[in-house]
Amino acid sequence: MPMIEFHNVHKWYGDFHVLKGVTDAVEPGEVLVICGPSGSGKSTLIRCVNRLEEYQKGHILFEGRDIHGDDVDVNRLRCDIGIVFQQFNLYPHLSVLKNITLAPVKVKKTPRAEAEELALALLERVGIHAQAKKFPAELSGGQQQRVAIARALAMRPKVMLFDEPTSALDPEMINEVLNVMKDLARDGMTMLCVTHEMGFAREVADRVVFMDHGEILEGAPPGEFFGNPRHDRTRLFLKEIL
Amino acid sequence: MAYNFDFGQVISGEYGQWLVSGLVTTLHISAVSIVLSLALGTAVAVLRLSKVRPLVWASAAYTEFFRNTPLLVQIFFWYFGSYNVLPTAVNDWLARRDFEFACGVIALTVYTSAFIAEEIRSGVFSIPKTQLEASRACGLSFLQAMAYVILPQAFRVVIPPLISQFLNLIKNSSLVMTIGVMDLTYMARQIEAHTFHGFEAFTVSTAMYLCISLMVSLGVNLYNRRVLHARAR
Amino acid sequence: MRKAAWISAAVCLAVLCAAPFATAGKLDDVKSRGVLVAGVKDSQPPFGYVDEKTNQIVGFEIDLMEALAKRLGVKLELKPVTSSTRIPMLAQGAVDIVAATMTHKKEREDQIDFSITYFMTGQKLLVKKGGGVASAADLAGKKVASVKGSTSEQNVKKAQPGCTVISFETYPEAFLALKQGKVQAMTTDESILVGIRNSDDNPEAWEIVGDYISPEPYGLGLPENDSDFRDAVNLALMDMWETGEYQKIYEKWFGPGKKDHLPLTWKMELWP
Repeated sequence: MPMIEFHNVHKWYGDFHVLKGVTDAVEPGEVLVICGPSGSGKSTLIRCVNRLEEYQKGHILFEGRDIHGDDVDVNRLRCDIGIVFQQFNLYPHLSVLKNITLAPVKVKKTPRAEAEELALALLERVGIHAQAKKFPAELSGGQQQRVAIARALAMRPKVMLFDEPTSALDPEMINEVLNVMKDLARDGMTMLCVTHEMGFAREVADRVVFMDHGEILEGAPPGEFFGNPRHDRTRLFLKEIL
Repeated sequence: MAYNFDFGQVISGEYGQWLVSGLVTTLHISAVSIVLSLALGTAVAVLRLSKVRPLVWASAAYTEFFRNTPLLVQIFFWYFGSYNVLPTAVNDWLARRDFEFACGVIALTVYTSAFIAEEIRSGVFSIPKTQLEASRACGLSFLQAMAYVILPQAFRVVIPPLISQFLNLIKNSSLVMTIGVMDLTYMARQIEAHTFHGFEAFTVSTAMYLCISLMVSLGVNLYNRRVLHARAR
Repeated sequence: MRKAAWISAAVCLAVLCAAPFATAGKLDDVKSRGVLVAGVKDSQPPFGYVDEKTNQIVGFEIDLMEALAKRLGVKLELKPVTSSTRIPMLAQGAVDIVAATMTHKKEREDQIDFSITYFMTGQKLLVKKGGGVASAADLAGKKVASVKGSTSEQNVKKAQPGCTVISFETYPEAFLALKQGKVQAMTTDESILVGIRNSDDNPEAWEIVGDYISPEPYGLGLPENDSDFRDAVNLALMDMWETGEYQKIYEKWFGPGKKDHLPLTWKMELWP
């Protein structure tokens, strides 16, 4: 059974048709990279998965269950789906450690000591163990984004969504974040990544899809996708970005 | 004939004690009302922000109604108006207790909470929407996100306007004397009635109000600097 | 913040120092002006209130002031005062004399002078008929309504330390509290209680009970330390009593058959 299934998903912002019947499936452990020009609806698509965005037509299934089903508690659903934003969105009034433990303690009722232990382990994993007591504003952009990844991982999600995680970073910090993501991919995490980092896609993606004007035009393993794109628009896009 | 100033008479002896007991009452009613109005105001603001239509309407109606009617009318409404609504047994029960003080607290709390709700709401608007999004995305409910992420940040922004609401409350508390609560202004009036030294009594009570206000202002600012802002540079 | 505090202190001081110094010899003043300016109540029937038909201030104290002005050979001008404005207005010379249901108390003496007593009443209780309160002694553990700016609160506290006094702004509010059962009695001068009881749709439901909790001798407020003027006023009052003019005015407002009937049971102090 696929982890996530999109069935003919349509979304409108007023008159603007953002998603025009997206259909796809993501298998457990699969790393899917979604690329495409800005305004193509790729961010909107992954934000539909954890219901940060509503869609008007079609279905999205998570582990076989409709995410808008009556039996689905949106807060429970979100515990299983981690997300990392372009702008990090850390809580500025809380320390790094508290940023990470807040949701496990308040939502999952994990004992504080246990949550902190996990948080420190995650910080170790993303390589900023020493910064636990600091506040977000005291960290560099790359460090903040790694904290954001640790914050999402602290809920032990089954899927991770990445919404252009490196777009707001200075070039020298991009790799430290990508390395964490690669590490995660190698550990078998199911990942949906909206990104322009084609090197990352080539290296760790199981599949790359190209979105334009609210549609998935094509999708293929990276070798095939980059080596032999079928659509003109894909070719044009790759020429511009590479 | 000039007015004879005699501060000694109003700050010593029996009249001095009256002023002190008035001061204690004013501090008591202000402190209780400040705490309650902050809690109620926050709750009303959260309802307004909830996106659940009936709650939003109820909250909007509450703020507009209680912000835009005179406090004095509200005090009378709670004190005299409640009689016509409540059953006789409840009225009798209340009459045997310190209903005057309770009505004073209710009126001050409800009135001020309407203003505080608006301040907090505007404070929440100044926090980026992505903060709510990020916390909801981690599985926090709307109320949890408000309590742990949005409001702690919003409070910092609204501290200056909150201070002025607290100071307004302290000054407004002098209106509760209309239903017989023996606060500072009431005592000053009584001293005037007894001795005709109204200027002195009101000068002393004014100085006391000024001291309370300055202390509240200083206290909240210190709390803001030491506790709230110390944590996030 | 500190600057603001200094400015407010300076403003307070300026206001306090602004109380002007009046000239000596109020009697000469009044006579040369040809007008006696009296501070009176305008909402305290039957002592001083605005008559609904004529829109003029009328009442017992107004008639008394007319009689005084006649004796001084001057015209009368009325200025409404309240409990909180009557003293500053007298001290600043905005009014020459105050006739506003003011009880003559020793403690009030160092701000102004008083005439001899021109009306004698006493503090009593207004209660619901059959409500179980017959005197101050029955008030232990109960609430009593009074009105601010009066001394009745302290008096009833002295008569019955076990009662709680709730003071209101006006008599109608105090009476409403009594009607709603929030208090078990209201207390003030008997002369005022009579008027309040009669203002109810059903006066029979209420009664005025008990002995005088305190005597309330009303005196006219006069400028401090001006004995010429004080003598003139006192002699005029005694003259009114002796010639029967006072009694005539009293009958007009408090006589038998009047709404606020109150028998005349005291005698004015008359100097031989």
